[in-house]
Amino acid sequence: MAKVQIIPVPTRILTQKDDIIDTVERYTKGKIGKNDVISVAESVVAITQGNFLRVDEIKISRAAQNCCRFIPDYGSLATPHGMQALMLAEGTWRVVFALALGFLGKLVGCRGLFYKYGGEQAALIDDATGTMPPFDKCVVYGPKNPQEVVDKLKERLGCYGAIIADVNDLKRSRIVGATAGMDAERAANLLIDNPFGNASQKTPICIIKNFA
Amino acid sequence: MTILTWILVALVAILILRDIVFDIIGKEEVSINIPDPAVPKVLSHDGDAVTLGVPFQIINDGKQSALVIDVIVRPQLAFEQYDGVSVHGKAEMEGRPREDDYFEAAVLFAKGDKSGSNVMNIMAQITLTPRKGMTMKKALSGMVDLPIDIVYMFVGRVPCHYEKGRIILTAEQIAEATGTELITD
Repeated sequence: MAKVQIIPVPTRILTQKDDIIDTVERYTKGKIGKNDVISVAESVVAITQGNFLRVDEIKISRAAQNCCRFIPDYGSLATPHGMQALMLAEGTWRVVFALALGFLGKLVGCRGLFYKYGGEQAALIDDATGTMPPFDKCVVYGPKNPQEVVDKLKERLGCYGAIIADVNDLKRSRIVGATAGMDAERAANLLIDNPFGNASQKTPICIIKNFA
Repeated sequence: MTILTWILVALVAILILRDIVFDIIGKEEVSINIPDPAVPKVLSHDGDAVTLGVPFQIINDGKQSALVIDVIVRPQLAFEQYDGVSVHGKAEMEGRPREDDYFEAAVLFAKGDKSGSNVMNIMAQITLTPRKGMTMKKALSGMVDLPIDIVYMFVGRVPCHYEKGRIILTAEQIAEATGTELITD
């Protein structure tokens, strides 16, 4: 059985002018086979979808200013901009309710209620500094329709599977979208060392060779 | 008391409680520290241009982290005052050299936070280029005091906004750093 191998694919900086499917196809041409899995960084998928906001262009509500204070300062929702971005995506009242529920839950030892009820973007938003330049001054959402994106990638590339992954240098690896039949947990474990890189390493695409 | 009064009392109590909680949590307290007097040093010097470096710091003395989104070095030399040199400014964070003029947003940790420093060391790079066909020596000999605005944008618990500091490089300091003799008229 061939050895599983992770091959980062360098690209130029991708923007909202790029189509993620066409771009991945172009950069992986001749490199990907039918036993391989294509893996794309979630922030890059979101950027190509135009799913981000510049920090200085977000109009901040009083609710966002108050709510962000209850998030620890290392979180992406700890600034008024991160919180406002979430409110714009999921609705102000939903976020306020989820925050109150999360607070009450913590009092009785039940954690994670805010992220459970605050909408899917609550766990996906990256605040400023979370993405490489020139998007370091932006709040970047999670990707829209991740399932549709991975299904299209698999179909176009003819590979074993496709995933969108949220990975960072703190050994956190999460699969945001995966094609049917994929062992997403195994893929997440393989990506735990963050082959995409943070900072200015331009490798938003990785091929997991011989995954099948 | 009526129900309305009870509601008002409850609202006031919530607001007071909120302020107390926010006060305990604290927020970022970001400021700029420019040495006085600023001491320029020559970073590069050739016949075409001289680049001076002036170190300064952005400091967070608060209980909460901040994100420094941008730092802009804006020389304020008006040609009405002296048109012998054109001046270009750039901010470069210590340990993160860049060939372009882009300033990459970075975290400025809270005071005492073990995750990282609450002090950001930045070098203001000021490049002086002679104009009107003058040599560098001649252009710098007529130099005047050079004010430089340091504009920085940050966000923390309060929405992102700009604040500003100012470096003034005197003509004498520039002359001393570049080994030029000033000519006064």
